[in-house]
Amino acid sequence: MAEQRNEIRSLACFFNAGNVKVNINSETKLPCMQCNGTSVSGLMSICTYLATTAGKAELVGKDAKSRALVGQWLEYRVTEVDRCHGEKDDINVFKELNSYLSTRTYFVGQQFSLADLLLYYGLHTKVNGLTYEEKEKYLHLSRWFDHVQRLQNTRQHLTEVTFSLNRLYAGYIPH
Amino acid sequence: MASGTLYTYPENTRAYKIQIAAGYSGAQLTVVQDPPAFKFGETNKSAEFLKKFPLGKVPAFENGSGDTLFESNAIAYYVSNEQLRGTDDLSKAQVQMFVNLADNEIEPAASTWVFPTLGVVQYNKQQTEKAKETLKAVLGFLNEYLKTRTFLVGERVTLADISVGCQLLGAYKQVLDVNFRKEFVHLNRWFVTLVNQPEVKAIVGEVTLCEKMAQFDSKKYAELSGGSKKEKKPKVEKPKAEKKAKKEVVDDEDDEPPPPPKPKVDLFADCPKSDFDMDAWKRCYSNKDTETEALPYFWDKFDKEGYSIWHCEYNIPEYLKENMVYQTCNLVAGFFQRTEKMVKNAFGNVLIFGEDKDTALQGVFFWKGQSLIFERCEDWQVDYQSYNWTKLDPETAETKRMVKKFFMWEGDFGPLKVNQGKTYK
Repeated sequence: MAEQRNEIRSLACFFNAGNVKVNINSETKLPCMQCNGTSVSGLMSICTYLATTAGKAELVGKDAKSRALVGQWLEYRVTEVDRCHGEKDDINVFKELNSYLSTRTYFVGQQFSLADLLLYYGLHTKVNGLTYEEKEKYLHLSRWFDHVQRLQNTRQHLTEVTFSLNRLYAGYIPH
Repeated sequence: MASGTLYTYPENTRAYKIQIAAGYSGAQLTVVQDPPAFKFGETNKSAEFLKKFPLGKVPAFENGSGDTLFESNAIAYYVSNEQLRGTDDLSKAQVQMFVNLADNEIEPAASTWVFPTLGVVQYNKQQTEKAKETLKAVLGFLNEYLKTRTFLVGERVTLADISVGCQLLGAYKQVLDVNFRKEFVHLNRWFVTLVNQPEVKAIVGEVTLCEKMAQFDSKKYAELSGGSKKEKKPKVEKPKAEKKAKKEVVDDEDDEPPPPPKPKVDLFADCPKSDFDMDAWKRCYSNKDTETEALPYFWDKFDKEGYSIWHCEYNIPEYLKENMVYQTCNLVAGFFQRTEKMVKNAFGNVLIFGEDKDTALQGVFFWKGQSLIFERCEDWQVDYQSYNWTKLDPETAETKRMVKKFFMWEGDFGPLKVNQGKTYK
């Protein structure tokens, strides 16, 4: 619950939304945010609202196709990533995302979008818990994750995850 | 913020770097690239232009206060912001590292491979194969480097990405086909992301990655280099001009001015004085029996210090394969015509082999001096590069046989059958 609350506060900071109040419905676990007299519920609605009001509508997707794809990944975040129970689920998500990112820089199109931001927040705890060996195994996911966390203002309250590999690994080029 | 005027010819990848950098930084760039304001080869050679840019090179840049810059990397740096240049000493150095890599490692190899496929320069198998290997090694390095990185330096696009990307643009469009590029998956990812950034796309347009590796465009080259049929001449005029512009792009890096015209001097000043009488030889060859009189005369009088013997072979065999015999004959006639000013000092026989739709072309010449005669005068150079020239040693029996069969238009040419011959005299 605290995690959810922090995430929405971080999102609000990222979008310079000023003071926001966040409640988590104890029954539905649905976050509710109050901002400048407007009340919005649900993670997807909240981040879309924040991006649009901050004048960063391009992060939601600049055309119908990319808006649909951003929506798809936000849904994936809520339905797949957030509902992982146990290591097996985690591994499936890592494998899936790693393979998806093996030929892509970002989740949607060729630009950073809400999909990247929300998946980064959603995966932070999991990625932070990986060993260096595991991080290397999910190399493409790691590359993407490291990129997103180093972008301006994305990290907010979160700790920086380190990816420095042991120099004994062949082919390693130091950052 | 930097603002100013950029002079260039259109679709210049060196200018692209500057224009993209300005797109990122917001620098106000007025691009002067189209006639009448800018005509490559004229505007940049005008007194007014040379006063500002003595080397006459483009891209060239002038800011609002009249400060001038040339060299594309310097101009790109000037119009950049901190993000593009690198934010600290290390990242600044890394940016320079990739900017130099693009110019020193990528550009020469990529050009050697790509330009023949556009028909702007002659194809040389050995050089192209070497270029492929060189480029492959650099691509391999970049691919490995980008495995763990989104962009080349830091987490944003920098001049490093812009420089390397622009130098790879031609290769990705022309020759790095699906099969070749499949081992560079990370590099491909990076490249596609880069060219789809709005700031890059605005300048280079939609980039379609190569489907099938382009090969040497012999037809286009023959057309562009003016070696094609005479009756097509009016049509050829325009591509010729275009070729000239393109060729200059190829030859002189940042477009150095062409060398000044050679002053009127004795073109054969370096050759020792010779007693060999070219006119007497030509009379003998024309009027007497070749085998019993002309050839013995030739070897008796030939001056191996003052003259040299050369074999030539047309080096776009694919082109000849499709030719009718008369077309190949026209090719030879055109070559003779364009080099007629050197006839006083040269003699030769060119043989056309084969038949319609399967012709070949070889010849044996001798001329004054030991070097390739065409290099003595620009006017003779129109299409000598369409032939591979090999110097023959006048002492060997092999050369004697070669001279004999070419001067007699008959003998053993392996699989080739002589169709007809032409004498250059």
